[in-house]
Amino acid sequence: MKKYFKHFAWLYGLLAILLVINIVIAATSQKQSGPYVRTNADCLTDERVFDYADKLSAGEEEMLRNLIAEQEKKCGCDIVIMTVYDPEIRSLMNYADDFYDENKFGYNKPWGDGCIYVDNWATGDVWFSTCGRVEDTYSNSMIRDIVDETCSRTNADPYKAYSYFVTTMASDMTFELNFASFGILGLVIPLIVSVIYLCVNLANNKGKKTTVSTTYVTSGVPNMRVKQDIFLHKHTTHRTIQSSSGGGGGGHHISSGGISHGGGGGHH
Amino acid sequence: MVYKCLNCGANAIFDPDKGKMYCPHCDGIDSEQLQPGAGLNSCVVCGAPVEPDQYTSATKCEHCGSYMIFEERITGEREPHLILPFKVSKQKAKDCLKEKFGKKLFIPDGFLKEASLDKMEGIYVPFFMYDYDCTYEYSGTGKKVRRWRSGNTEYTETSTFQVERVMDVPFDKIPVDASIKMEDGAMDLLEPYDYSALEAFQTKYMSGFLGEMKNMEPSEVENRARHKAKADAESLMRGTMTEYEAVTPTRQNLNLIGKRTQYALLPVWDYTFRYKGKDYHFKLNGQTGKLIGATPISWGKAIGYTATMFFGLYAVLGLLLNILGGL
Repeated sequence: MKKYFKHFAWLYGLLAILLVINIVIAATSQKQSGPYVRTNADCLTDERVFDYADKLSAGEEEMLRNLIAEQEKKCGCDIVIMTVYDPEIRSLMNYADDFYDENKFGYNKPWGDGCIYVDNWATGDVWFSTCGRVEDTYSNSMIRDIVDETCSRTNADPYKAYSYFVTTMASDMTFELNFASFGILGLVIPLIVSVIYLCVNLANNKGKKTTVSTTYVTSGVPNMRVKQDIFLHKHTTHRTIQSSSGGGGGGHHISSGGISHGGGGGHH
Repeated sequence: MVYKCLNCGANAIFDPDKGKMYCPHCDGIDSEQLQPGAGLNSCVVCGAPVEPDQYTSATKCEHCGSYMIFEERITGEREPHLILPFKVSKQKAKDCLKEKFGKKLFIPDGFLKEASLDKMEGIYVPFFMYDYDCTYEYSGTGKKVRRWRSGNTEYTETSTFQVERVMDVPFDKIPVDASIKMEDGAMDLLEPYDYSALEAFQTKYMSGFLGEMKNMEPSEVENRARHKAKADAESLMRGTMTEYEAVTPTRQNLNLIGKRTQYALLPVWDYTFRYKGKDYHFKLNGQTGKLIGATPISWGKAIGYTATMFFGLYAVLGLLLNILGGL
């Protein structure tokens, strides 16, 4: 047992230190742990669901509004859903950005944290415009994933598709998801370290060979009587090296109102 | 036979630390006197019965603790040509074990306890040492490859050579154990010994240790020596062709001519630890201190230590997460 405690002294010491720090933080923390509070008083509307294409029933619109209100508090971002039917819209990206900017959306401030999802039912095109913290969080692949998943559900049931968008977007922006991911890592990391620890300590070499090829050679070197290397012939071959080309796409842009937006589009 | 101290009559033994005969009873140095033996079946000192096995040449009386040497098994045709005296004492051998395995976490309790280590015995193990003249003729085709790039084109130039080698390799004292009891692999791993300390056989070096006479004739184990010589010669030959990326042999002739075979006794410390019905053997080169053997595993300890590591790290990460979340 003495050897055990000596071996794990560092671990128990670390645990004790962390425990003390936790207790101190818990005793002194003033941080608000509740939902986010909206601080943008300049937004021109309280509406979040703009169903101009009339794809949702009144009841579905109401449920979607409630869902958005609930999720906005959790993630601290404005979430706007808009459906339109307009074959004349040339740039859905500009259309979405302008609508967001004109209404001064943003949870923390005008043109602040938030997003708008615009679905043009005349063409099937959609655009997911991001701003503020949402713009910083969403990578191209995250945008592609959420847009593709939402589009794949839209034709069958627009309400379910938009609900999916709202909840997914909110969870992408909240700490709970990160915590869930860390919860898995919290198990995996100690498991991997423990398995390595076990294997290293189980390693049990019987012994290594320590003789070399000259160990039993008198005077330590052989006598080389003949050493000839006669050149016979030479030949040369060649091949062309194919260079690979990488792909790219997406990125940030400035809307006509001068606001930085991110985002990406899709089609259903 | 037994070596007795001239001063006090106690059993004088060879002390590896001092390199001299020593009396543990009166601390006398080089004060030994040889007393002839009383056959294979009784202790020459106390008369107690002894039961050496068919190859034992030196043993310890279980009754009085005297080390006796059976001259019947070390004289005439059975007399070794050479002996390498112990240079590592029992205490040093114990220290070697403690140093190598002391930090191992999963060894069972008792493995390194003095009571267990006291059972360690020094044994003179019989070896045959083979001298060879080796001639190795080699012909082959070697390829050197050079690669370079120009623009988006890679060029590969292959040059072919006729490789001719003739090498003489004189081998001196390739050791092979002549003991059935000793595991061949373990004996090979104990090598090398420093032959500069080899001496013409003298019985006094055996006093204080166990001993075994040769269990077989040199011809019965010579294949192992030839195999070692062949492997070394081939390795040396390969070393002369390292500039080639590949060599394909067209003709090889490795000729080993036996010159001389000598019978020698080499020093080995033997420690056997019994754990859960199984014996774990450890051998230590009695001259260099090189140690061979794999320790038993206490799975209770392995599980306990690993579980502590797992749950400890899990708790550390959890507490860290709390701290980061709370800041």
